[in-house]
Amino acid sequence: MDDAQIVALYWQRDEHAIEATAAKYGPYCMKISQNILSDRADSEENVNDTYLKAWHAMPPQRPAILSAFLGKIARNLALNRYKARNTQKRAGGAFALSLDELDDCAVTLPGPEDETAARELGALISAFLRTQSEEVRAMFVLRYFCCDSIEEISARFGCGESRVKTTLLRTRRKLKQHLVREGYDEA
Amino acid sequence: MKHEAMVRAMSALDDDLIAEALSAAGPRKARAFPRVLAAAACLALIVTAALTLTRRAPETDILIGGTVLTGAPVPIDQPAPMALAPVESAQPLSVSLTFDASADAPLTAEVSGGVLDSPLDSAARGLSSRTVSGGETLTWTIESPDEDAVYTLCLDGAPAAVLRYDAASGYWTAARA
Repeated sequence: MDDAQIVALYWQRDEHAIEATAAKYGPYCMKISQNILSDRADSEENVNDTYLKAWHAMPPQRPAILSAFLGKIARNLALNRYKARNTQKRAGGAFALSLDELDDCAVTLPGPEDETAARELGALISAFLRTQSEEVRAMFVLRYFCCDSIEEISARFGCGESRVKTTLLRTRRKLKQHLVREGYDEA
Repeated sequence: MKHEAMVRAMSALDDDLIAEALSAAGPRKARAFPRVLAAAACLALIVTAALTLTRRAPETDILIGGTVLTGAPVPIDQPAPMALAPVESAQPLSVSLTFDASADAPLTAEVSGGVLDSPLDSAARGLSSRTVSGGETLTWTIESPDEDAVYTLCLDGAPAAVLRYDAASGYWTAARA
């Protein structure tokens, strides 16, 4: 079933929309959740929450790219769970490592919880990524949006892990320069 | 946390960038393929070069009067008359060369001086370069040979035979290049 048909089911309030979403995007949402939460039970719960949130979001929303729409929901929900789970202690694991990497290009927002400010920063990052090669963009998005491990990305691109690390490091540095030029303060 | 804003901002990336990453970043085995191709091409080049070099002149025997030409000079004409009858002017030098019948493809024979004639060529015309097949005989004629010169015959661009004057014996000699 194509994405437009799935979205149409949501708009018709047809519960088959959830089944169709699970069939097509279940593994993808699960992977993002698992990458962040590193816990199967938590991840399954997170994926179910993703379907529920999608159900409430459509309508009124009619996403043009359903994969990105669902990925963002799954990611945000998983981040909230992750944050709630790890407020008392510093977490370890692969996702924590990717967060540490983001320190390289971290900037300060007027308020980190301000969704508008986050969207503006996201738009700037998107604009920056468009100036990079397709491969660099993909590596960056897979690492910091999907939270894929370095090993997974290197396997996916058929290159060494060191090359992925170097590419990401350079991209983070360039992104930092770009954001500072755009008026953001270094964190 | 320093990265908090960045983590949240990554969730606000443009949808098309996310879709592009999910679809474009598949296993890129194609990268390995050109390497294999390149290696195969190099190997093919080496094999072709080796085959070409071994097929060319060194394996194409050249015969003079039924004798295979080797690195040892072979006299190809009579000694020059002695002092009683000095040579007033250089006489034409002519030698018949037969190319080994095992040569399976036509070769290009070219001489640095003089002309090549073929009995198969109905129109008599001296050419410095001819295409010759295995078993064919060419006559190499130098009208006014210079005794100080060395004349070379090349097969497919590679020196195959030389004519030079041997002052000690008074003979023109032929040898493999």
